Amino acid sequence: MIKTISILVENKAGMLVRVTNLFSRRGYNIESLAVGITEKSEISRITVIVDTDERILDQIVHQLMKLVGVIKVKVLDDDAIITRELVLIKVKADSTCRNEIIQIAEIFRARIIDLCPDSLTIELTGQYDKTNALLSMIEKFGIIEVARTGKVSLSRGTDSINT
Amino acid sequence: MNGARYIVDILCENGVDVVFGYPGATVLSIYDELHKNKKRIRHIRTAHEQGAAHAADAYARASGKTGVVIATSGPGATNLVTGIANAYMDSVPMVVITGNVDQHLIGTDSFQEVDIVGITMSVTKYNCVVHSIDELGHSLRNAFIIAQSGRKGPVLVDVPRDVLESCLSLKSIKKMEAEFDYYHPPESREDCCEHELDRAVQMLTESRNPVILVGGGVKAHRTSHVTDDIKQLAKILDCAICSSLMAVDSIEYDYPYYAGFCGISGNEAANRALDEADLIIAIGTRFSNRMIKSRSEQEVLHSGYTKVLHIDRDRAEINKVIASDCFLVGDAEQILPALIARYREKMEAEDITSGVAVPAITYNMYKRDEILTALSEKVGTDAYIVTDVGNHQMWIARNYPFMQSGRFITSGGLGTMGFGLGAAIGTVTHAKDKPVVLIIGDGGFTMSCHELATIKAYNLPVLVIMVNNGKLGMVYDLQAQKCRGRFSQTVVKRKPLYCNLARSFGMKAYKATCLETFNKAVQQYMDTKKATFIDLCMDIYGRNE
Ligand SMILES: Cc1ncc(C[n+]2csc(CCOP(=O)(O)OP(=O)(O)O)c2C)c(N)n1
Ligand SMILES: [Mg+2]
Repeated sequence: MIKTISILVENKAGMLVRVTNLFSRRGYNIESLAVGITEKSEISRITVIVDTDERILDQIVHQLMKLVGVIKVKVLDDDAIITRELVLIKVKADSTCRNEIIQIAEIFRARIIDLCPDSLTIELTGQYDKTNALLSMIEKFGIIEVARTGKVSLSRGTDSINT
Repeated sequence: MNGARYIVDILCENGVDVVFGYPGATVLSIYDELHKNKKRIRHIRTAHEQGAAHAADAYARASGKTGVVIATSGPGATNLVTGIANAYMDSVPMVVITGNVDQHLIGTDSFQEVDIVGITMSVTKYNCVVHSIDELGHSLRNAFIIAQSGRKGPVLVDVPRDVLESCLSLKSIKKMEAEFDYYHPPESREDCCEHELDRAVQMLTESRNPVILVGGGVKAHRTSHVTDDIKQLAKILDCAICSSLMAVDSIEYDYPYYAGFCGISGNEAANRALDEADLIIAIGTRFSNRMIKSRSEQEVLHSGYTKVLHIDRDRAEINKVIASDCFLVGDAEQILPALIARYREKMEAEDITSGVAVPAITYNMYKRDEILTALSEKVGTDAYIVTDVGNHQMWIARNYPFMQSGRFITSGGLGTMGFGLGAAIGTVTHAKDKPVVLIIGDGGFTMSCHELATIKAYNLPVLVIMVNNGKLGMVYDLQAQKCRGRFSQTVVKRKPLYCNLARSFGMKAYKATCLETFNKAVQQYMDTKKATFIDLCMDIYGRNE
């Protein structure tokens, strides 16, 4: 099962290594990982997506809790979660196909953020399926490179990791 | 004052009166301060950093205090790694201080530079680099708190040379002390609730054949409350107590409810009790794969016939190896009295009498071993018994008549050959006038005999008994079973003169070929309390179960 874990950690050098080291050492697989500071500059949020079972998920949570510097760990509720990922896609585009690509991007509510005679760069924010769908639509034009941020998630409503 | 002096002050502030280690260029300033502060802290310099780490580890096991070890950067630090991992596996509180190169050199592959924080990340409870003198107080003080809090373990603090040698004003020391924020262990976030206690009691009442399984965690406290409660619980439930290797000595060997330790090399009675139980009450154990002896047992545990009630300080141990039907997270010192009281209440309410002074069946199947009985009678119940790793270790665990908790010092989780001599050095440093006996194999002895130099240098009164079977017994036995007797690299060819070796380090050395000569040698040690070596050339096989 796919699960999203939100981890609040002290914003200190080496915290990300400690967290990822724990995952690799105990053999837990990471599907996606994103990190950034929170509303408080001294605290970072790491969002980890794992594909695992109930027992391992419980292990991950409690092993994480033991790390010095981890402040809070929460498995987000699948039914009340918003997840987004930002993707940048650089695709080959000359005058013959540029318009077609732009049209496709519009349908996906993606934006063109850079343009030159031979290529353009698309910015897309969304969920996993949407990104994959867009990628498969423009694959034929020739994708030069892709950068994805990894997914970030929050729970819906006023609920937060602190409640 | 410089950083090095501040370290010495913080060590004293934390009640440290002995440290183990080995000097080098990056920790020059620490050694200089240790020299100036000889009266406040004793330093034991071993022959090898690994020995120092094992010594600090065993010192902590014997005393309950935090063991401290110091080493220089690069090879000094890497030599500690086995010792740190050993302490980590057995949850031993230890503070490791390593020097590192000057900060401007870090990352440049400079001379004797290693990323010891990266290397030891997965074998420490916590580790860090001290980037500035202003962080030193905070990092080192918290290292002691982390090492001792909740489930204990080793913490490494890596201090670059320039930090050790930079100056501190009294004002900044005051500031550091005022602003110190204590580390709060996450374990305290979760404690057992009423509802779970009720369920646990329910399981106790429903079980027809329970067994109590105690692990190393029950030895975390120096008091006997936990073991007293465990013994009481066994009486109330009329059931066997089994232990893990780590906790063999937690119950007196002749306690009628005690069946010994379980596992691949464990006592028959204990393994049977565990096999037949319909409820395992596990206290402070992590269900090591060595302890869950046979496949069939694992299957039993998973089949649902055997229920598991797991009590542990560390929530992450719950359901890690064995799925439990109910768990109580917290300190056994609080949980057990609550559990017993609740169980009694329930029994009284239902008008059932509980508790028997004599067990219904014989749980204790302890078999006397001639050599070990003789040894224990001579050295007394106060003696510390340290082992290395191998067949001799299992012989001691199965057959030594332990009478006091905390007297058995052995490498459990990591199974580190070469642990014994360093460990005996650490133990004797704490034991003062109590006898310290090391039982070590000829393989492990050869691996670490350089530490005899430390025994000589500090005049440490240990009794080293080397079981001379001419082989790496434990692996030899495996080859007999699994390799059709192809004994690859496990037989000692052309044995050295062990007694002469020991004598050259100033020890009294005896070759024991029969019980009589053995007894004499032990008596010599007890009479003189001088470092003594016994080359034990007697067959220990066939003597134990
Ligand atoms: C550092 C290390 N290397 C290898 C092993 C594997 N090993 C486990 S027991 C053993 C044999 C030990 O031989 P000895 O010290 O003579 O003890 P005996 O079993 O003969 O009593 C070996 C090689 C180990 N546990 N630790
Ligand atoms: Mg041997």
